Amino acid sequence: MTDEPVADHLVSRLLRDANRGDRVAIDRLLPMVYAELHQIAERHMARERDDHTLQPTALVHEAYVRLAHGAAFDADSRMHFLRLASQVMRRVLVDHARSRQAAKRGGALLVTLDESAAGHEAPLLDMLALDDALTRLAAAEPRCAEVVTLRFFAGLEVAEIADALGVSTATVKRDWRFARAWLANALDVAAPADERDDG
Amino acid sequence: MLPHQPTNATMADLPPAETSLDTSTAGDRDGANRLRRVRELFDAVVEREFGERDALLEQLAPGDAALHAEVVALLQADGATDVRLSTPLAGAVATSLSASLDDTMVGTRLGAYEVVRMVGRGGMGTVYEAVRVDDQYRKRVAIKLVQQGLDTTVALVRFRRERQILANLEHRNIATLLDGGVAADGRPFLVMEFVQGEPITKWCDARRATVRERLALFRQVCAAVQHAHKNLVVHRDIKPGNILVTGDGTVKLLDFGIATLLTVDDDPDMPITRGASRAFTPEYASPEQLRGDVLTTASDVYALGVVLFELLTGRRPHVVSSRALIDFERAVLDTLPPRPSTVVGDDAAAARGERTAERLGRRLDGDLDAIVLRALAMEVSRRYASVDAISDDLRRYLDDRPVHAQRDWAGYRLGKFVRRNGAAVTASVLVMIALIGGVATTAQQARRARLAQVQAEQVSGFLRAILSSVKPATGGRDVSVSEVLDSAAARLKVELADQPLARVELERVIAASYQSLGRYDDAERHLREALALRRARGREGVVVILNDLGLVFLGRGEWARADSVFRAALALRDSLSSVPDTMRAVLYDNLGTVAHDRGDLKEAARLHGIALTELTRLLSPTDDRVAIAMNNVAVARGDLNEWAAAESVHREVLAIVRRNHPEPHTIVADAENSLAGALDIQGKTAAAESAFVRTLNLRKTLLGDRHPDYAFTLFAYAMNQMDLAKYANAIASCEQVLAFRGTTIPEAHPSVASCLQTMGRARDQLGDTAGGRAALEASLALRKKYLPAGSWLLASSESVLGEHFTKVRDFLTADRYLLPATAVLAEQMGDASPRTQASLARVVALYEAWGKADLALSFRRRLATKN
Repeated sequence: MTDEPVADHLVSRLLRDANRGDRVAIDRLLPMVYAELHQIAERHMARERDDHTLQPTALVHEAYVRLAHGAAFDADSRMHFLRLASQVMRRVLVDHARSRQAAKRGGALLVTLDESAAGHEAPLLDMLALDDALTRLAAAEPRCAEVVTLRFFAGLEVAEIADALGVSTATVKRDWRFARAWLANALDVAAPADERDDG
Repeated sequence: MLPHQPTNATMADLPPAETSLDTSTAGDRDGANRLRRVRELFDAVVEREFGERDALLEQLAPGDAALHAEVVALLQADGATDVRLSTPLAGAVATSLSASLDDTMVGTRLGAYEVVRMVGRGGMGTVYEAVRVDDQYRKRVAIKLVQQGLDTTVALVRFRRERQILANLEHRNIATLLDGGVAADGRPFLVMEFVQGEPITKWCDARRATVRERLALFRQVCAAVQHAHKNLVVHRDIKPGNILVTGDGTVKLLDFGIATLLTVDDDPDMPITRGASRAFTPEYASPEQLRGDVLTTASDVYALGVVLFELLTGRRPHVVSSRALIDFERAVLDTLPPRPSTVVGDDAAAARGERTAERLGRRLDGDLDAIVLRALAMEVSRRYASVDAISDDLRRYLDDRPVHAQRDWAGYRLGKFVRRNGAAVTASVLVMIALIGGVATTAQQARRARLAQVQAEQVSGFLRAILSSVKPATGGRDVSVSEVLDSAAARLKVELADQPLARVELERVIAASYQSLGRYDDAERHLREALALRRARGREGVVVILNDLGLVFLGRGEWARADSVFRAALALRDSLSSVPDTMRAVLYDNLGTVAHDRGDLKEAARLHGIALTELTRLLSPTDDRVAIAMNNVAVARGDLNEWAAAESVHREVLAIVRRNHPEPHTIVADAENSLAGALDIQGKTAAAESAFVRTLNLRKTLLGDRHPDYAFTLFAYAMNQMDLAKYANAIASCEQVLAFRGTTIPEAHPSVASCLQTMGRARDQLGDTAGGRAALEASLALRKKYLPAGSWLLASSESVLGEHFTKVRDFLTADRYLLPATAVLAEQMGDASPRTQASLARVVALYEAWGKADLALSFRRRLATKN
């Protein structure tokens, strides 16, 4: 049981293909990634109310481990996964925001579930505006947009982002600094506080 | 379909940033070019001092004031701070992730239903109100959409099959499962009867229902749960939120078996998530549920106890401040629930139509306290054996009759009294003899050791019922029964010193009890006492004690000693009387059993045949004892592979005992069981299935669902269900059997490991490979613990585990298990043995899956030796 995991893990292979832009692989992976993230979050929400301990980082990492079924992916696969996961997270938040906007529906009658269905409050950011801004940013500075996506939606640190994108940490820091300022402007919010890794 | 529903298609539409340019307009491209230019300037000046920035900008982009302004705005934004962009989205991510899919379902179609609105959400999924679109009446239904997708075909097949079981669960107090399917994104959904109602606790409080009214309502709940249990469905998530009461006061239970249906076993590689995917509500979870143990109907009994506690007192037995699982574990496993009568307040009293808390407390004190606490017992063995038993006790309470829970308590007090008062001991033991005597005599007459054992267990069951609480704190039931026996035995020697014949009888009773507990040495000791006492008074009555002693040796597997004792008894009997009697037949039959257990099947058939002939001469051909002898002959013939003949005898036996006992009777169950076994081994699995079900129903009614005989039949039934590819049933049955381990079935009993193995294979078949592996490994571990190294059973376990790892494509591990196991099997049983062949087939399958064709071929050659 302590043997090395299966050499050519299905998910690992899909991730590799997805990273090369293989649509079939992406189409297969996205629901899997989504399902893992969703399940982890759901479980978490079911157990703990009003909770801020679930960081995107933890979420994404747990999803990763689950997808890998305990087998260790190679470093590349892991990075591919993180990129994919951050995109999924972004989509989830946007969909959620859109559906909230779409309709204000009537009060809920609890049919089979207990009190734990109580809702949580709206995200702090205007997710739709953020999404829109990110899309515009991506048109000109795709890497910048991805840095933001990895940072916001997957909670990665600068070094991890650099790994994932195959660039230096200095590049990531520069990208992040510009993106942050640009988003703050575009969203009409003040720019974010400096991070500890960003002198 | 709403545009935002993240089906596979829209998920795939996620814009990889690089490709977004493809569809952009010229205006977008201009915008992008400009943005890139802004970026260049920003990077160039942002590291400079404030004073230098303007000059540098002018130098890099002369004369473009608008561009300058954009860059300056960004430079200003760069300096400011806002917490919203710096600690990204922690709460929002979790909230949105867990909710997003569900909100977008409204207005979409699920199968033939249109989703109208979301009505609730919880750990397992989301519930919507929906209407049937192709129905002109637009029937309202509730749809439960499961949170996670089923990613394999096998899982889907399992889902459909189990859904069918639940759909067959028809009861007026159970919300009917109408339909089900799989959504476009792979998530399964269940369509249920829409119930408009309130949770039972709220319903009662709103109407200020009295204690009696609450109990009557609660008994409706019991009826529903009991109905499901009879159909082998366990709820596993009973709580007020799942027990609705409609406007007309009808109880409707929701979500029956859904928890089982949707539980995915944890990946053993991820201990961190232990319990995470088990769907249940901690407030109502039983101790075994919190521990992550196998669940049975007893867990539902516990949850019902919590609900009853809440109905009566307005609060739950354990008050836990957080919702962390660990805190529930601590509260439930480490502390005892309070007596309901002691926790009621004035509010609770008012809601139950009582003027003061004290009055309500008085109403609950006594019977209701006892009933609730019995349902909430930490150990399964101390809980009510069935939901019917709670309901029955409540009815007794409502009818002002004594309740069983209290009687248990009375027995406890009696026990304590007896311990303090030496004089009373003799009296109570004599009462025991009077009560047990009849049964013990019947046991003597029973022909087959196994049947005798049933009776003996009824004896000890009776002892338990009366005396199990003599020393309730010491844990295991057997311990306390043993202690009672020990102290009774010790006292008898002294107190009945002048009544040797009474002592003989009592020693035999005690010996039979020890035997039923598996304490053969003590049984032997007491029988030898009895023998010595008897022999001192001549040869009368010695034969029967020798027979008892032979049964002890038989139980211990000491065939040679058993054989010689039975033969000595036979010789003695024949020297005393030349007239044949039933004792003579009994001895022949027991000799036949010895031969059978030794593996001398022909001799067994002969000896059982003699017993049958003798009995037929002495008794009416329809006498139970004749039927039992016929049964034993048939069993022996079956083992000689004369299955067709055996089957027809079993049918004849069944007809006889059914005529003798139109009411349910253990002997009918035994006959059904034998027939089921004979049918099963001949491959008449479907016919065997119904015989097994009849056996199970009978045994449950007669012996309760925690009697070893019930468990053993359940295990045989599980194997039968495996053969019928009814894997879910096989698993459920195995789970039930396994709930006995350590209690009625000793951990070391071979059936425990076999049962785990069956369960593992069934889980594998259903695609639950994590659960399969866990069970198979547990089975192997048990066999390793209790069997000598090199046993073929160990090898067989390893071989099956190898098959599992082939299935999950962990070929290295599969190889490590399969090869040595196959070698052991081949060495001990030869290549031609079916077990070796099965193992060789697994090796071939492994190498074929692994793509090692040459190795596969070399093993296939050995496989061919049989074919």
